Amino acid sequence: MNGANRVANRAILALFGLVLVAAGLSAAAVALDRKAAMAWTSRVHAASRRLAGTGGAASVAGAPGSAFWLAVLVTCAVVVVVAAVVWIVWQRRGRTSTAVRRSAALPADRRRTGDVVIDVAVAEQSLSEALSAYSEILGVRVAAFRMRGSTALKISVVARRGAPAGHIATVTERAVLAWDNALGVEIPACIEVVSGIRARTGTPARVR
Amino acid sequence: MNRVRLYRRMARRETHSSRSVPATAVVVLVALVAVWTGVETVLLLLGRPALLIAPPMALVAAADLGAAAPVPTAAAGAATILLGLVLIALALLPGRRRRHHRMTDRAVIVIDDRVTASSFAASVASVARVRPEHVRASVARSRMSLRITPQSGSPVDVAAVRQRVESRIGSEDLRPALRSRVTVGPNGVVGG
Repeated sequence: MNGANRVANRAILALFGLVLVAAGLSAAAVALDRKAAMAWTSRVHAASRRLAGTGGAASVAGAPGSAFWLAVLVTCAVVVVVAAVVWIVWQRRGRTSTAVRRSAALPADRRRTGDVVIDVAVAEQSLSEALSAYSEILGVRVAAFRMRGSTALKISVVARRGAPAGHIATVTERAVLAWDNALGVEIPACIEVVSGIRARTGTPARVR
Repeated sequence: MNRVRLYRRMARRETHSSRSVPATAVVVLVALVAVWTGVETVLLLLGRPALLIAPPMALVAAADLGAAAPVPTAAAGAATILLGLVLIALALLPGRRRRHHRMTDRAVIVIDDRVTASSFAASVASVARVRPEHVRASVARSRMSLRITPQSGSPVDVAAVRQRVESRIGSEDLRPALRSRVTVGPNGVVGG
């Protein structure tokens, strides 16, 4: 639920997919059609001559323009690497450790007296405690994400195998409502009911 | 952001794959190739020997190889086309995760299909009076199927099971809506 740009992810996949298809088609064309193969090889030889000075031998800066093209290549490579690093870091954005940030301000003199910050660990701890009585719930994890200006909580609840999922969700929702009252603010929340490895191998709950 | 829109956005994010993993794999691969190309080109500019092979020479070698060895090249080309089509499919397909969801006033509730299946299986086992291991439940996008293997000698009240399943589906109110199919296996299990 983080800020990873889903459209961008798919665009990257589509683009690279098209590149691969084009490369594969050219490889197939070169392999199957003699004329295509000859046209392709002569074009590659010419381009390589322009880049490396001579066609084939690894001699350096033979032709006057080759250093320029090589420099262009290096610059492109650097740009690509920087873009890639930025992109990878960008994928992880959105995740935050702050569940709530409230600035306490006295309306009378409009001065900010400080921020109240509630860490997401507090949410996890209080919800965990509230739900510890239920044997069908094996664990609670809370994560906070910033989405379009608001902070949203994702509450992951691990259900015991066979436990009634709807009921677990309702019980968790009730715990969240109680926490809202204690906190005085309602944070948008997503309750996720999952099965853990322990849940799968543990004894299934007997429905009475 | 308006709460309803936010919740719809959250529900969508939680029920569909973000494609972060394959996209990151592609980006890392491209970055590695770029690093190698950059290093090799710099070595070429400096007149030093190449690590593996200078990029222009690599292209020449590839072209020559392609012309000289058609069969492996065609095979490699076909494999590459296939991989490219897979990536395009990943990009275009919705990538629905195996979960269902519902929205309440307070929260978006998302439940893994596996959890839904095992919880219905347990409930069906209790109504049908069989052991939970003898109920097979699977949840697809709009269909849930429950298969009961009865104990030999004790018939299963299928109508009661169906009624219980329908009423639970109604109360769970998950989207996309689930239709259920309850079947009782012909072979009974002895003992247990």
